[in-house]
Amino acid sequence: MDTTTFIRRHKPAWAELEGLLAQLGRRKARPDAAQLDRFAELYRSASANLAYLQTHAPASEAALLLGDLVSRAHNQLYAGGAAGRSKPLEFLLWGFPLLLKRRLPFIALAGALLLLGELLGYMAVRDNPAAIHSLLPAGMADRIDPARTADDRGDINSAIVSAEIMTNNIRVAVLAFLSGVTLGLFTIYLMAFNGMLVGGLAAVFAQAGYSYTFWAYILPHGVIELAAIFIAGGSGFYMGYKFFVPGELPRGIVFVQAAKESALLLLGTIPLFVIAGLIEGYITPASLPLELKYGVAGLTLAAFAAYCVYGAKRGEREQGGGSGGGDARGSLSLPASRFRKEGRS
Amino acid sequence: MTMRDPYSERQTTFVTPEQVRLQLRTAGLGSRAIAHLIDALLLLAASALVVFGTAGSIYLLSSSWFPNDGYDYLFAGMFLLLIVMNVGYFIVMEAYRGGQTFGKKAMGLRVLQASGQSATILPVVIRNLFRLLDFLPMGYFAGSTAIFFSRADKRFGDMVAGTIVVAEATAEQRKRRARIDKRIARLQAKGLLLPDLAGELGEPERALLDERDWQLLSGWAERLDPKPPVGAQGLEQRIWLHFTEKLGHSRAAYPDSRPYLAALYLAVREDWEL
Repeated sequence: MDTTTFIRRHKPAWAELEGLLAQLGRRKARPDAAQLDRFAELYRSASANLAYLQTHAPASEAALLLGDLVSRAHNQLYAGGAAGRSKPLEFLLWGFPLLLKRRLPFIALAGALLLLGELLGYMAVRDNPAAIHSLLPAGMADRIDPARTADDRGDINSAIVSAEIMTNNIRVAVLAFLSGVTLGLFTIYLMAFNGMLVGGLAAVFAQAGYSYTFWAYILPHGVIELAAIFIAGGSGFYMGYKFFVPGELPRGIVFVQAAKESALLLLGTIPLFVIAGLIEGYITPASLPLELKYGVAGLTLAAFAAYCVYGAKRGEREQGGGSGGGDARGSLSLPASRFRKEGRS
Repeated sequence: MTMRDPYSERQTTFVTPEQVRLQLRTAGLGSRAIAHLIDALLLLAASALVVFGTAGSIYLLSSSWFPNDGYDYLFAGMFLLLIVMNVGYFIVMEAYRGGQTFGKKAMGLRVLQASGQSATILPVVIRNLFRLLDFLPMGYFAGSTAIFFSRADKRFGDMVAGTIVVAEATAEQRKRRARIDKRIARLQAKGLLLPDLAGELGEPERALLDERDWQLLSGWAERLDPKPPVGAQGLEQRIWLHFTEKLGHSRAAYPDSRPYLAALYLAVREDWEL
């Protein structure tokens, strides 16, 4: 059979497949069983046709176009478990805390680095107050006046400040995640530098004798915010770690998989940043007694810890019943795919 | 045909569960840049709409362009909306609209996973977060360089997320077809009369044409030029000679090469294209 005859004979079926494909591709597609059967049938016959064309007319335009059609149909047919099947609420309730528990060493490393930076920054500025100028952008250091911290800041619009701070922090977190491609090296810098910033500021206030005030203005939102930054840093470190220690699979595959898990970790921090941003916009600058602010800080810490512990426990329970393996499978299996599997069963 | 120029050939291959090998052409720097430009312009327009909308409603509510207070929430809401819109647009479109933003759709591009499957939400989120890195130091320089050197046209975001951007052959073909149709229509408007070949070509004549003839004919149609360079006119003549001889058409009945070839192209096109 020559190519034209072949094309002419099967063209109606291909056109029908194309039409069905367009129908199924609509957002609110509600195909009936007969349509689905027909779609699968047409897809299989088109696949066979493509194989024929690839053998007998590999360079033809028809083979190229049919290949395109088959690939689109293939994507439609095998899309199961793809977009829209993930369960954001379940992830928030217990998936995220469970993931936190699994990545705890990396998050702890990020935290330790940040705290180390903080300590260094504190000591540097305590010994040499001028050092703060090399930490902060020019002009900003001059505007710091510890005595005025507790003044009423009526000119600051809390809603706007809240939104700005929140997005800025999310940006830092995203950077910490992205820096995973530098195999964690830039992550180290990010963590240490941000820690030094806080440490340096703390030293400035300590020298003026306002330590108590300073921490009252940092901690209410800082607890959640730092936790989120630690997590983001941990996600960056995890990517770097997986690159150096890929295990049994090829490095490229493992790295991509680690990036996915890390992205999941990063997405989980967004609610944390929203909460921290709200606190920073409303509670931190409010003229409340300092003790109350420390109280808020303690409260957020307790709430976050409770969320992590409870969520991780519940997560282990859910996973233990769902996939019957839990931690025994090691850290290579992708949590995201496990959620989806359970969602379907 | 331009479609298969060896230098633009960047293919990636995968095998479906039906054991059919699928070849996808990854999209090069140019088409992706144009697609992004379209998206960026759309987002710019939408952002401007939001900003002016906010400013306008503030003016209507307070009859002053810069009120001192009381509109914090409006400002904060606008600020957040702008960010969510500019980040979310790519993610939502690529994850839930078949891997195509409006710009990519216009250029016939699609985001897929490197395995050939549709991209899911996580890879899409990753590749879009990495825009920050690909943008460095400015104007997507890092990303463009990566695409330039990568075997499958991947920017850094694509490498980490394990995604590719493919150019759909169908979209390309549709565009080429529309271009040729427009050219022939323009020639017709200038007085080119097409002979009626569709009725005359029977099954046996059509069977005489083979793959190479079609490539020749579609190649001619693609290069159809109202004012061909001097050298090309002789070529047109030779193509005309070739087809009249092959199909046994009398040259006296179709004395002009151009209308004959155009009619022939339109008549047999459906046999070769999908």
